[in-house]
Amino acid sequence: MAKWKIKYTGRPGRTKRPYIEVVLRFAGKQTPGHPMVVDTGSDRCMFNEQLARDYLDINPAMYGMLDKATGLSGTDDVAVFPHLEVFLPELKRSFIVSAQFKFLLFPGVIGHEGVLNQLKVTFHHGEYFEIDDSDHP
Amino acid sequence: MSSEVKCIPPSVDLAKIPSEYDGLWVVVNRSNQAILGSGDTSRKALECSRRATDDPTIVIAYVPKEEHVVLISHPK
Repeated sequence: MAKWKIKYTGRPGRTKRPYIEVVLRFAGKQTPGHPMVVDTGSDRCMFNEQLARDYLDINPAMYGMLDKATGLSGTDDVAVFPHLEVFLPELKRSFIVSAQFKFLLFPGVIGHEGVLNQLKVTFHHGEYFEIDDSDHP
Repeated sequence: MSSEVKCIPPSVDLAKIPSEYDGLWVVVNRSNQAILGSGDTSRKALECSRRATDDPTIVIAYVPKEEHVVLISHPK
């Protein structure tokens, strides 16, 4: 099995987005699965810092490496963990990423470095997206 | 060589969650989409549901209430 076709979802009458379920793992601990947006506009994966504190027993602001992230609203401080495991249950695949943590209202986004640059992802906007993992051994 | 395509629904169908949960985190039973608990953080929703962190039958989703979201993250 190397190709998946996942339907978009969203609130009634609003924009549908491409979500994929994500489990974060670190030092023997893990989060429950959280659907996160597949965000081709993000260079890196970015996660809600509350998930790190509540499930992984790490405080990103205290123990992460300080870095900056730039978005449309400006530049923010972020905490970076260089070896976080991102597990995608639907694909049964793990990725080790340099993850950014910051205060977010939502669980996080899956960006290029470490995940999307390892896969071939095709979007059929508002309908579904396809992940092709054929090249993975 | 062609590969088989596996079609899968989103683990949480946000369209089926009642609007009273807008802006909250909800614990959802993966198989029937029943809401098992809610809260203003993921952890509080999980505690409300009385499920374990590693329970594979559940998924925790944030129910967005904003109309439009733009988030672009570039490392500087």
